[in-house]
Amino acid sequence: MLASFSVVGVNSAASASSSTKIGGSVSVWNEFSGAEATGFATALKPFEKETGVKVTVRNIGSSGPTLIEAAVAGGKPPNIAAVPTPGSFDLLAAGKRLTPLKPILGSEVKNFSAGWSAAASYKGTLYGLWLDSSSKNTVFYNPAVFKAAGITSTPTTFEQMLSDASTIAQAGYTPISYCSGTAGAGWSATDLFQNLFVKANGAAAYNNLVSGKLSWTSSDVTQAFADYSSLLGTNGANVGGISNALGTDQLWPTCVNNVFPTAGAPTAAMVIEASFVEQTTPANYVGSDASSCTLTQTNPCYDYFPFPASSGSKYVKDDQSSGDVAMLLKSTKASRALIKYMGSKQFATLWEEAPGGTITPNLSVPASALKNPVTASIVKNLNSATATVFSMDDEYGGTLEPQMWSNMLAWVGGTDTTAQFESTMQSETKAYLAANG
Amino acid sequence: MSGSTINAKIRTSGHRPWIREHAVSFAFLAPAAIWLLFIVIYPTIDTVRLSLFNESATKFLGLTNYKTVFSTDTILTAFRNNVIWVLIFPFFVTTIGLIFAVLTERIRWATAFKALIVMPIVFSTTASALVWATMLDNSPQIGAVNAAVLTVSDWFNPPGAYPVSATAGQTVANLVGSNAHAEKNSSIVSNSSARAGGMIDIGLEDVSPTTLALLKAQDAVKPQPMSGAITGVVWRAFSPSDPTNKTDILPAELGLPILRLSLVNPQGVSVATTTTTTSGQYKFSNVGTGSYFVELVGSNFSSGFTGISWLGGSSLTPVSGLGQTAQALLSVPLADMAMIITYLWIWAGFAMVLIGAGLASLNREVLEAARIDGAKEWQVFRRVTVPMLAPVLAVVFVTMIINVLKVFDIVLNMASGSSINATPTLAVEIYNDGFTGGVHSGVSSAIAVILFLLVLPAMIMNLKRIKGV
Repeated sequence: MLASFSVVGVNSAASASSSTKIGGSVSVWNEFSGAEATGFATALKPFEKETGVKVTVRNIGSSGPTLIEAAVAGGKPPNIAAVPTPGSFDLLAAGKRLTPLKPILGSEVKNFSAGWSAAASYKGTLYGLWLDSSSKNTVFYNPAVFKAAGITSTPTTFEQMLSDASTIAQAGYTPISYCSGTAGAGWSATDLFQNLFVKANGAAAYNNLVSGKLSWTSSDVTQAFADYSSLLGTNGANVGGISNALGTDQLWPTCVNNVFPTAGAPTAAMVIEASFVEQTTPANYVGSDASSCTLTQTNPCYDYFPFPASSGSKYVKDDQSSGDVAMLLKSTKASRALIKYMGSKQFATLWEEAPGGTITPNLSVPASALKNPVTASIVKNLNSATATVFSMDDEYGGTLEPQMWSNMLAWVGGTDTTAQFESTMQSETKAYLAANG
Repeated sequence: MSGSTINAKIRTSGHRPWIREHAVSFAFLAPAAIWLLFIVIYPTIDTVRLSLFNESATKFLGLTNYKTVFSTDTILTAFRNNVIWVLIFPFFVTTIGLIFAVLTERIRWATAFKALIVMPIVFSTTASALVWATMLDNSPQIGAVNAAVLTVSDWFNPPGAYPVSATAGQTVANLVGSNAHAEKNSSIVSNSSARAGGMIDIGLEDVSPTTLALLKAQDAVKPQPMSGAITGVVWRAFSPSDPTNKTDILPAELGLPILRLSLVNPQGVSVATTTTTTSGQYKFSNVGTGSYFVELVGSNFSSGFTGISWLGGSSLTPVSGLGQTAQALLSVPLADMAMIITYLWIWAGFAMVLIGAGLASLNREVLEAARIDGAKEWQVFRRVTVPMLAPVLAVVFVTMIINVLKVFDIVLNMASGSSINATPTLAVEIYNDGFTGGVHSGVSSAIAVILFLLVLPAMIMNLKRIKGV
């Protein structure tokens, strides 16, 4: 049945590209706001002009997956929807709500690496197109603070990072500004665990943990939590104390400002977060030379290093990322043409170059085209990953996501022990997988 | 009662059918009734239906969702929080409303005072919640409440120049760089001792550069030995050029100013005190015979008041020695109290206005009679005013029970990262289960139905009361 679909798809895609004025309208639902939304709209303009198709974009906020699942169930889905949650992508694909994209995208398929394509596929069929991406494999740091602590090169192993952290503490700075996320959402705490786990055990083990093939009570998970504890330090010394780290003072983006303050001197050295830290920092990049960076400059210097693996780990380049995947929910001539356009070099370049632009996993845009060298370096790392995994909480749609967040915060806060976290997570994952297949 | 009135009317109106007599009334009522049917009756019934089905409303589950409600820790916590709210809030809001109402009758500028008290009702609850969350912030630099506590606390427990805060994960032992050790009383004592004419240097680390900039610290300089005195320098033993060298005073390493030092004999008794200079030097003159240690006294490192985490994860646990679940269900989160106080601030004016209206319609002659009979003001209030106001007080009380059973926005907006799991009420739990991170309508609807059943008795009571007034 899928095969016959594809044949029809090829024909229609061919006809879509041959006629220039298609007309009509396409509805697109996404979670882009602010600079993202403007950049996205800018990148769509040439398409609208060329094809005469009117694109209506609706921002569905962070409850996007819920709205989309409800709209699909109600029989009134948008033409195209983009979500940052692979979990709900899988749910929709499993429910046969999505149109296979390979025949529609045609040659644009080659613009995406095998790793990213695999992440947009369900049971071997490509259903999704990555619009943007963000590396969670990044530790941002203030070069001036590193210099003040006498650290001349960034850590390449986890052990080195721990010893650097203790040196930074001796110099009187908080080593890591810990982001507890927006008002209690534990995504930031969860991301850190996921980085530790994937770097130690690899993408395959990580995905097994997500799919329930690897138990949460396994020793690998316990080891990742032991690493997490050493990163937090005794009594949370590395993050300025546990209760402070989880307090309202450490909400996004204050946690970033501690490292990259717009006024006054920095109090912390590193912030472990996704690449969108850059969006909150008006900082100067200084390249490999940190000598001109000072602690008091108005626009502090910033740079990053990839989240390090333990020495001897075989999975140094297995990375955690995130992104928004576009899906074709209602296939029309105009919507097929649009999704093909969104896979093109033109779209990706325009969006990347827009003010407050994004990072795209589209390979046809060379990293060297990026003006900001930090972003260029992140993109290079993103596309050279041996394997890409997604945040577990995003992989889990439904109720497991907030459950995992609150479990994680309870562990960080010391309310739950590692064993308690593991048994709770194991039973909740089991229940979730039983309910959602 | 109303039924019998209608029957009586039918009987007196004689032959005309009841329905035709009221046809006009029905015609006028119909649009509202149909509207209510769509926006109240249908959703209510559908919620009951959804509560019996699975997440996507495709499979009938019977009472499974209800079992889930009563076996899920987070939802039981929400029940507990509702109980806390109901036990505390209606009583206090009625009492405060009564006090305000009685007092505003007796003061000048009563209208201005009333306007001030009523004003919070005008604000959006979310805005109020955010304002109060800021006022209750942990940090005295941000939160007005902690700033007030700090002002008082500083009189009794001033912070030292080099505060070490346990909440920041620090201990005094972290500070020790070289030639010293931390004592139990948070002081730091030199490892080496000296006699008159000798020197003792102590290196510290983990000292914030911001603190040193504020204290205008200068490069550490080792003083010359002096006969009859013990001298030395206390310095920041950290240099970016050689981070592991703690023992030597390296170029550009700063002295630690205004540290309070004690000269202690081997028995641990302090014999003299002094303070370091901006370059970290100190001098104990006219030292007697025997050897002495130098102590950096604990008050240097006192963090003073660092703020109460009003909206944090701490809770008041009335009993101990119970099982984990029982313990959790019996503890009262401090954040709940903070939210209740905020909610009192919002609703006290409403209670005051209602009670004030009741007060205005009281029969003054009864109060006058009581006074003439020799009752004191308190007795008049206690024995006459309050009993006569009882129906109004009951309406306010019951309305507030309904109000707090469904409290939502204040909890959602005030909970901090560390109290987010301890503070949800049932209404918040409905939202969390049903609308965040995916459709989970079954359990969410089940909670909604239970909440409806909880509100129902209070509503019936209130309707009866209002009729009675």
